[in-house]
Amino acid sequence: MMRTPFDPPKKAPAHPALTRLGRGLFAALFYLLLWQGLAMLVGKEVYLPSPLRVMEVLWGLVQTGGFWLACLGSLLRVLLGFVLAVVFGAGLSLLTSFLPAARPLIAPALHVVKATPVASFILIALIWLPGNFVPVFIAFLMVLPVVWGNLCEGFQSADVQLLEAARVYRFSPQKTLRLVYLPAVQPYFFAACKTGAGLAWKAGIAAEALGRTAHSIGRGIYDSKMYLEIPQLFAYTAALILLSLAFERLLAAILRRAARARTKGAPHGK
Amino acid sequence: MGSDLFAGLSASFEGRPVLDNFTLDLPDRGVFCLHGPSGCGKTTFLRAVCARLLRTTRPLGYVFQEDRLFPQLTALQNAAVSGASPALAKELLCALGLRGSLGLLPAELSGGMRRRVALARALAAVSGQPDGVLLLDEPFTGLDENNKALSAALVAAHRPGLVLLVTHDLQEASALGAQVFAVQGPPLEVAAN
Repeated sequence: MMRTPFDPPKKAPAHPALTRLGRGLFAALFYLLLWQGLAMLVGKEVYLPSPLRVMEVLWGLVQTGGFWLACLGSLLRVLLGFVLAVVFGAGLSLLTSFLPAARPLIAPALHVVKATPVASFILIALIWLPGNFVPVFIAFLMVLPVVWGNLCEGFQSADVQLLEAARVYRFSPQKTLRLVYLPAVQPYFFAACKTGAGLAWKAGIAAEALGRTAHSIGRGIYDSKMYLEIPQLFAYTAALILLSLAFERLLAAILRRAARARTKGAPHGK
Repeated sequence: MGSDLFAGLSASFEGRPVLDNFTLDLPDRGVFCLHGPSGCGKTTFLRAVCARLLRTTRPLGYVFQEDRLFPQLTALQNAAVSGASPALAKELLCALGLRGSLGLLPAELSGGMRRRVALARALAAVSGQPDGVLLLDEPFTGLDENNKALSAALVAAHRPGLVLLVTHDLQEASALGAQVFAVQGPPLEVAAN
């Protein structure tokens, strides 16, 4: 059949070896080789251990109960901080979006939180709170302005024409929220969760390290540095990256499922 | 005696008065049409009337200039979104030739189909209610002659007490048997009755 100028350009057929998984493996292999090369070039484990050495140490760690306890502890703290931030961030965004008088009170405080270095908050929180709560509080504090800011933007992006239709057909506030605001907010909420999850891990582990929280990856990292166990520091970091990636993937799957469930929801009723 | 709905309407757009204490001496019942060129203030008039109606408890149906369908709802769910009975919404959609599209989302419908869903939604909200008001802003845009006639007949069959149509197409007014007011502006003023 003849092609017209309006037909989309034909895509070159993907090479079978360059599937998504294949591309991922290729990239991983490339960076592992680069790391190995640099480690050989440096030649000192205390500066840069080789990937093989790190894997060896990681294998040793995963065979200990303490490692898994540290992973579980960190996961629970980061998760708790993250969930609290999402809940409070959503509540505050509703408040500032629909109660204009609340905005001048809440917005500056959250902007200050966003601009303040995380290290300052950690050191202050270490004075105020028991050690176990510091990573939870820090993860919460770092994610809160992100969720709040994104959701406020989402609420502002709601379609004004649909809002007018909702008023004409006398929707209840709940129905307006469900049919107009939630679809508008959804992409902003997903983006906030994705960014927030990464931030929660970074800030939470930093707090664990500075606070030397018991049963935590942060403490493992800090102790490794203290005793110059650099391969162990790298091993903990690798475990942390894997844990954070798994967390983000799981979160994305949950959000996708929630979005599908909401789309299928019954629309009737005032 | 004219209805208070149409008395002393004022509105401006970007600092320019579109409705300047505009009053239309109309009764509270009947089918009326404001006919005039694009941009003369007809839509603003309809929106001002709508704002007044929202302060009352009168049932209201509005076919906006745009379809304004809820993208995540099917045609049937959109038609019943005002809280109207799904059976009535289904009856209206079927009468408009959309029997096979009840479960489709707006993105899956053609422009003319979306227009008919918007009309069914407005009619479902006010069908047969003597104190109801149906506001129609260029309601048959994008419909072919056959569907225009079908839609006009359905409006006539289900019309509430008051129908207010604004259009630049006199055929739409005559299809609904409306009393026509020729208007010009802005600011909006009646040129002839």
